[in-house]
Amino acid sequence: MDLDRVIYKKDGNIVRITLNYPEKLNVWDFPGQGGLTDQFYSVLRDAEDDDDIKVIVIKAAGRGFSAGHDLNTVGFVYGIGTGKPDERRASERIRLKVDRAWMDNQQRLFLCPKITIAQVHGYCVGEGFYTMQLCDLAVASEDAQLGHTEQRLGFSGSGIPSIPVLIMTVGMKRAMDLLITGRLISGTEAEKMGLVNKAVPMDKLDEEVDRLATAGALLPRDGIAIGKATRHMIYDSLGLTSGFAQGYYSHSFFTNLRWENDEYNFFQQRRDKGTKEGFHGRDERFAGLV
Amino acid sequence: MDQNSEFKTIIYEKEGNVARITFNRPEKLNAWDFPGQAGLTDDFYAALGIAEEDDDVKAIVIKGAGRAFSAGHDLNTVGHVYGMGTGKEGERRASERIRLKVDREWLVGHHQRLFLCPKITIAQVHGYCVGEGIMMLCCCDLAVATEDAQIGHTEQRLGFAGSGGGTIQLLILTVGLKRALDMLLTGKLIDGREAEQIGLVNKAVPSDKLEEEVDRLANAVCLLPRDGIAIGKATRHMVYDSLGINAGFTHGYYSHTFFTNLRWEDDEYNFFKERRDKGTKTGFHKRDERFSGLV
Repeated sequence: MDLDRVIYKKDGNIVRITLNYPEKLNVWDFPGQGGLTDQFYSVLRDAEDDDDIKVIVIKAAGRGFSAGHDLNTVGFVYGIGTGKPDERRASERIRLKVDRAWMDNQQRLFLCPKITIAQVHGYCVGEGFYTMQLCDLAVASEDAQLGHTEQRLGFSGSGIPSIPVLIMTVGMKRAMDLLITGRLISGTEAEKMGLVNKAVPMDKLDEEVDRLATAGALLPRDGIAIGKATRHMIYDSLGLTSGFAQGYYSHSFFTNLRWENDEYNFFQQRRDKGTKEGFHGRDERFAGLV
Repeated sequence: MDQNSEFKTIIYEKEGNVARITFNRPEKLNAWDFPGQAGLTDDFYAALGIAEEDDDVKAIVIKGAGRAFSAGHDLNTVGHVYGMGTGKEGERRASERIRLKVDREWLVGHHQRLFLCPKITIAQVHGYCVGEGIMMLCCCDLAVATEDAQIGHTEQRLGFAGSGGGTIQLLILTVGLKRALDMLLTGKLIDGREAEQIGLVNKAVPSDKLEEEVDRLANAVCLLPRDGIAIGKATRHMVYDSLGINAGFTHGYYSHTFFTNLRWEDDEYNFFKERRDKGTKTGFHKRDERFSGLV
């Protein structure tokens, strides 16, 4: 696979996968579209299959970790919101197929048999946020901006696989706050609530992650694999892995949402006024409230 | 129609997409009774039903009138609903079936219903928030408290020792295992600030800012679409099932019923005996005095 959206760099027992689409703040596409998603999960498999690799660091080029999905094309993968005159509602089966492939990917990351570390700076929202959460460990810059802003499209705490993981990570009330208000928090606040392991000044981020990755790589190969397999069972017992099916099912369900006249419909705004205005209109409403 | 004509112990107000339900028994610090006793419990859940059925309501704010959110159950009458502790001549032990019936209606019929309410629920907490009060706080999606609110599971000092409630799993997932056990086993009160620090409430603010802060939060969540709010709660219903939280409501009623048959030994503090011999007030104070200086 030609890699123009990720950089794969191996250094001893550590591999660094860099999301490399900086001109678009590392926005994600969907499975099968041949962009960041397919490339990232292809190299993740390479790393899983490489017996020398113990630790995988996931980081990003440019100003931010990831701004989430590309709002210009959200919906297109199901064939909806394209603006084409003869467009019909997408079938349930295409929704379920895409959403399942998407969240199967995420489950693979969550259960990856290597130690995974997210290195977060700048914006880390939507798909960026889930990717960070599904890693074993995370380090952020103090001024990173993390949040579930995508929930403001209307999900209101649904449509994603990592809700149980979020609840276990920060607790019920904080999880509800992040999901329902979609507010952004800084790396410093993220550290305080246990969402990331450490927040450091931006110019110390590489150094801090290197130290953590080097420490992780001191563990034996078989130990690392046993550790993840053991936690796989624990995550099953705790109900965390059920989140992936709940996530794809509720995402498919959401894509059939009916908006009332007094509700903010991003897809209508995008169609009528363009993505940028639709996006800003979504978030402006929350200013001063959360 | 003025829905309040039906209610003696709560106030139901609707403004735009926000419903506010106020416990309105301030002379008793909004103490709760039990299902079927035609007081605060029945009124509150009738009002919750109205809010759930109203398609215009997106958020429900739950608050208390007077000095406190709620002091928990009315200790003057705890036990009476099962027909015990009444002091009446010829009183027999309550049957297991009446205990199970009441406790199930209370914890599954009511607490679980509040927890799974398809609207976004916000607890607005000031003053005392103990027993039934903290359980309701736990069941709401979000909570804001005054910095000086007094929040705790003091009811556990009756002897439950971490049982008899439907929200134990929920508390564990809200504040973590050690902190949950601290609150349950010591029954200590914490203030709003500490509650924010451990993630039991989302925010603690000075008393005079409470209303404003809750209004802002309620307005923010009302920006979400009606269907989205319903899908969100239905999705989390599945998540809560997987996490075992909903099983907690069943464990709760079962263990509450089990507890009501507890045998106290001679060297153990028996609130019900103290209440019978010395009155509710003394019984209540003595329950808590024993802990002073310890927790």
